[in-house]
Amino acid sequence: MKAINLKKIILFLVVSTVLILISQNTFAGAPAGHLSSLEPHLSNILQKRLQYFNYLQQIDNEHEFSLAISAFLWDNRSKLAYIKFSKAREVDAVVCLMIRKGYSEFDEYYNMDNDFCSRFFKDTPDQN
Amino acid sequence: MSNRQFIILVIVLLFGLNLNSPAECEPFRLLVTKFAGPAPVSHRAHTTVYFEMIKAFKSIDNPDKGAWILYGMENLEQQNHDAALLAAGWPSVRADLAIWGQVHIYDDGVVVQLYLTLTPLIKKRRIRPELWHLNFNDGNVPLRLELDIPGKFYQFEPFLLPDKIILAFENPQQGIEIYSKRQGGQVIGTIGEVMRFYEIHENSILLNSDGVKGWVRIKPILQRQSEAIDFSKGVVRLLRGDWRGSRRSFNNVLNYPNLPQHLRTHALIYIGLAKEKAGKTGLNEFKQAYSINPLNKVAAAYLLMGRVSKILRLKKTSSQKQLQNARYDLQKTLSATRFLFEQEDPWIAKLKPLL
Repeated sequence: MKAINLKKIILFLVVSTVLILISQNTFAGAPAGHLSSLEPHLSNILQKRLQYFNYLQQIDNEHEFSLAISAFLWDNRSKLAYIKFSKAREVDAVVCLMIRKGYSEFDEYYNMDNDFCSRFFKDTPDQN
Repeated sequence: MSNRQFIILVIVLLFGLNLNSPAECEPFRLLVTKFAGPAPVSHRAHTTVYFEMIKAFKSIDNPDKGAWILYGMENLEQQNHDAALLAAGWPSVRADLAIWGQVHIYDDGVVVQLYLTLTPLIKKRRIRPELWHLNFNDGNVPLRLELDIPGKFYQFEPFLLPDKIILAFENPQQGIEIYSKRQGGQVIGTIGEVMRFYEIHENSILLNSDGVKGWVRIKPILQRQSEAIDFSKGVVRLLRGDWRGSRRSFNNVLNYPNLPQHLRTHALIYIGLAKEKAGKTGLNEFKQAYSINPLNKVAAAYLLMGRVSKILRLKKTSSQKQLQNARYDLQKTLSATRFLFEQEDPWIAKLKPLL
């Protein structure tokens, strides 16, 4: 029994490593801001946070991810300076909302030298 | 499954991993922003340059791995490096390099003015092949000399893109055809939003887009047309640790007539750096770069570093005379360049044990 469990663990580790390296082996092109082209870390924390807020049921489903992004922006439209964003800026607006809400896992995406987030928000401070 | 079968499976998987793993490589992101200028010509030139830059990821006839090349969909807020940094710095983009520029209509083509911006994200990568460091001892104290690449922003000479080379598409998703074969064959689809590249050649790319796998045919931008394209490719290859590829690109740059001095200096430095990284001496190139402008601190630093590298190589041989000569050369270069560095420069202080 122990031998079978050890085999399963080793096989799981090897397959996981292969999957990680496959993502590193990607060479691809896409429009800037496309969901497929997001850094894996950003894609991961975004999806986890959207899932936490119940906007997303299934991780790594691009169609659902796209809908979740749009739904989140719509629900937070009162805080935003614009209702509609170009496709290229939707993810950035969501990241800025997450930063403003205080979710620290997004802090590394904030640039103090260039406060790009301020252009997404109305002048009134966040009440939440 | 028996134990023996299991072990064979693991070995095969791990062997496969080693064959396919990129050596010393980390996901790299290049942004080609939307070009300023009259539409639709500027959009078509943008698409043309975008596909030309894909070839920068060609590594000794095999496509590179772990890279995204992003097609900018929005104009820069302003035509300057700060705006390019902003465009590359969006969370959804996070590009290491940005290529941007302007397009002007000309008689039988367009004139393209290109710029290259290296973003601060380059310094945040875990693996940085372009960093050059040399380790040695001062007695029992280990010392490390390190040099980072010299440039952050580059402006290139404008170049002409003839009409016949410009792709007739305002963006890659506008209907660029995918063929079943590299030559001949039939059209089996068009490029969608995301492209995954498998093979890169000078005039064709094998890719998969929206489930359609086939060939896209690209007319190459003529070699003598622009040092911007070769220089940008060289920087991409250098940052990816493709030493042979970067040397090839920067050697092409040096062949351009009327090449601005700062580009010539940096191209020589990058060639020397690529040679050193590949285990050869880049001293000749560093000397040439320094001779262009002896007041250039960066060129002086690379020349000093090249001399240190030579000393460390000679220490491994038994030629004491050559080692003595190399030390003397280092002393002489340091004397000639000392005024370029600050009095208490810690980098210079590390050279003393080698003199």
